[in-house]
Amino acid sequence: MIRTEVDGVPTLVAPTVGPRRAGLVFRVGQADETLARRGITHLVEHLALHPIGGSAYHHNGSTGLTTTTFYVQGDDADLVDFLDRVTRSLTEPDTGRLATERDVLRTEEHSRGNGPTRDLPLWRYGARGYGLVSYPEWGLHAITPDDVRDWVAAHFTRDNAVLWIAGDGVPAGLRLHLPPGRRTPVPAPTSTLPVAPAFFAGAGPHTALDAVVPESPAALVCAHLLQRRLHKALRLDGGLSYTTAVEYAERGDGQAVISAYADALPDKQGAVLGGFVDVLGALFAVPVTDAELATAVSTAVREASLPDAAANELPTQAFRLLTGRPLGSAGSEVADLGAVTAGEAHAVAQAVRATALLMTPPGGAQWAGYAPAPTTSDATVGGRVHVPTGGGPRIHVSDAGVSAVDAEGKIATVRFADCAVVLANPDGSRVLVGHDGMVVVVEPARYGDLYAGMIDRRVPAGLLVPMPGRPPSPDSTPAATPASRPAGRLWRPAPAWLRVAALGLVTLVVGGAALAYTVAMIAGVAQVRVLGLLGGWLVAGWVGRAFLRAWSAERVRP
Amino acid sequence: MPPAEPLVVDDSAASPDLAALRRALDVRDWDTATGVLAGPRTDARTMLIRWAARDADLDFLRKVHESDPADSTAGAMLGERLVLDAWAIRTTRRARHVSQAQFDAFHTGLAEAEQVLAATAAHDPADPAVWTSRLKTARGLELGEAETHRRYAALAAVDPHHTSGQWQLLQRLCPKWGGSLEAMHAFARECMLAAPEGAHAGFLVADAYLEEVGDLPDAAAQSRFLGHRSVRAALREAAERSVLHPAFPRTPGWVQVAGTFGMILTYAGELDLAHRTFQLVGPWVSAYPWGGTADPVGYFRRIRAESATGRQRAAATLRRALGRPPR
Repeated sequence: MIRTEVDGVPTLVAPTVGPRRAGLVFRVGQADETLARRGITHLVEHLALHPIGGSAYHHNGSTGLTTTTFYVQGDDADLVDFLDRVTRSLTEPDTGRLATERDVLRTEEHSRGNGPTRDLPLWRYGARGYGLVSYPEWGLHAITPDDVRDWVAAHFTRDNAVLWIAGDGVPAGLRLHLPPGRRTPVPAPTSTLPVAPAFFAGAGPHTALDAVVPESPAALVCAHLLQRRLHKALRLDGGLSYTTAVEYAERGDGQAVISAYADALPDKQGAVLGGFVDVLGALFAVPVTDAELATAVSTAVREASLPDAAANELPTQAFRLLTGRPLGSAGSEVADLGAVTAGEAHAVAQAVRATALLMTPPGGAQWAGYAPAPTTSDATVGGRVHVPTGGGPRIHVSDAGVSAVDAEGKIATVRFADCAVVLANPDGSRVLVGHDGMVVVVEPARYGDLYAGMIDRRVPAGLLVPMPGRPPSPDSTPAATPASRPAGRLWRPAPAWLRVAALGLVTLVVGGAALAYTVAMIAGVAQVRVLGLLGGWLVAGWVGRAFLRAWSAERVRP
Repeated sequence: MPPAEPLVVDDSAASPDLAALRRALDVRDWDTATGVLAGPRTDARTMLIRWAARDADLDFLRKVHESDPADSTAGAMLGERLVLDAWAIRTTRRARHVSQAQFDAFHTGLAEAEQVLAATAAHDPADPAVWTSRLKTARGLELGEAETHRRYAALAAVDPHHTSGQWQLLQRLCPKWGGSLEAMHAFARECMLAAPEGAHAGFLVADAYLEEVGDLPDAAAQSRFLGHRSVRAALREAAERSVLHPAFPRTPGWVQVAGTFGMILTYAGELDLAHRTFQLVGPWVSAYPWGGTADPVGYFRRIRAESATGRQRAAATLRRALGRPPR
């Protein structure tokens, strides 16, 4: 691997037996965003690639956790053409296409769906930094052309980029048109977990884990050990899971995330969780035997020494260069893996235990000694209490923030000082997400003395995001019931209540008339008209029944 | 054979090993205790661990387990003790008669037991006593059918005829824990047929019928059910395959097996077989099934007398009075 420079951008070149390819990598990704501008990096990537859409060669863009890569594959001229055009369009993004690309991204997000392990970062880091990948690209609805220009100017610079090329060398005539800037450090990790090992109950039947350990060859070997054991226990022996997967990913700050996942059918979810927890327990408790260690090392080595390893390693090396860490080589990595001892692998297993976050099926894993990750806030924000007219939580609104207290007394609080986003839905409801991931849903229509403006005017600038329709709520959102009634400054009777009142009035009038006529008839002051009277009573009874039904339905309505 | 009288209710009296184990634990001599339990990890060992756990000093068991988490016997005994303590709080009554506070304490106790047992299994996944207790925690903590079967598979991989563990799965399969009569009887019979002739496994068939009878609404229904030709045939087959088989081993747990057969055979009117069973039992009144009644010795005596005289009294009133012994 050769280190050089192209127009001020550090460049790594390695020979390849495959096609020529190159990647221009910037040190910016989803973890650098804020929830209120979530999706801006992805949007920039799309805007930059749009002018190149019709090219014949293969190219792509990808927005990762802490990097954004523009990728091309072809001959020298293709590489030169792509990098020339993509860097030009990056410096002058076509913000006129903002609305169109926003729709493309929303479609992409929708069709991509949510992976089963999507929520793990949210529960570990909260609604910022590395936790943002758990959230939809809500910011797309609030991003302005100025936001895009600022984001590009701050991050898509030659001082915040690394180029890698798999091929003979730097193609002649290759130019990168990037302005100077500065290198962005990786985001500092945040945490919402007071203790570990912890768990949260996910929405599905699957079990998953992640843990943060210092990056090392031993950690990679430990990940391979975990993978082999999960596969044996859950797939080979138990026949409980189809997929068991373990991933080892460098975070860029010297730490690595080991994540593991096992799928399950709903009727097998308990056994998959039980088997998963037992595999972890054995990994934590007992150092691995030499034979098993040797097998795990050899699978790790095989992955590190695949054909074209030097070229395939280029994205990883580029990431290390961007994050100021030492570069490795395939040869030295293989040697390091071979030197890992059982004791070192066991020390990593202990570190996994000390930071483990488990996603479980609905029942949780408290029985197995995992602490529940926080799902409620400690205190309300105080201030005025708004009591719902129907069902729903009591809402506190003050200058400090907003709290919801449910019937069991469980509190969810979002403080404006620690607020990640406030989604403004067209139906008047507001969804507040705190940095700790706590969610408060406020539906002003349910309260006689609450309106959206009371929240909106207190929200710090830039955090209010107008939503086009009711968004799909994240899984941690307390079950939100759709409200279709508009919010008003004053309490206005809703159409349903008007109907109840009208029915009540008709019942009163017709019933009263029938009663009066009956009394009059008995007293002899009115003519005896049996058929007419019977009709009057029937009408009164029918309307009265409709009234009672409507009334009771309206009373139980949440 | 010891004299038939006086009747003895202490399980250790029928088992010299249990007596030795209890003596060792009384003086906190763990080496001697493990010496008694050394050798193959049989069902007898699991029974001994369970009996000894009940009376051993809890702090001593904790200390032994903490000093060597890899000592599977220590982990099994402490785990089983915590299970027994948790169940003592819950009581064996039906769920609707158990208060929320009792359930909370029950679950807390079982979670502690589960964590001790899981840590023990992490060191040594091949101890059937640990898996037997983990079947209990799975049931009490309601970890679901799939997890229960996973644990049973782990047990069966070590010992396919571990009657104590099979009894735990049988409990999970019975209707009061969300199973079905069909599944319960099928499993009991399957275990019995898979085990060598004369083994204790026939106990599972006898106990499954005891379980079903206990759930019938009244004495008349119980008599009708147990008088059925197919039920009596199944019980005869089970008795002859285990307690009345020449190879029936007098290993720890045998008194419980024989006592259960004595009870259900008498209920079913198989008085000849019941009588032979009671002759075998001698003076030993095991904690199960007799201990669940108000007067174990008196009840034992009545049932035994009934089988001996051959007079089939109206078992209805008797059974109604005594009902199904809880476990």
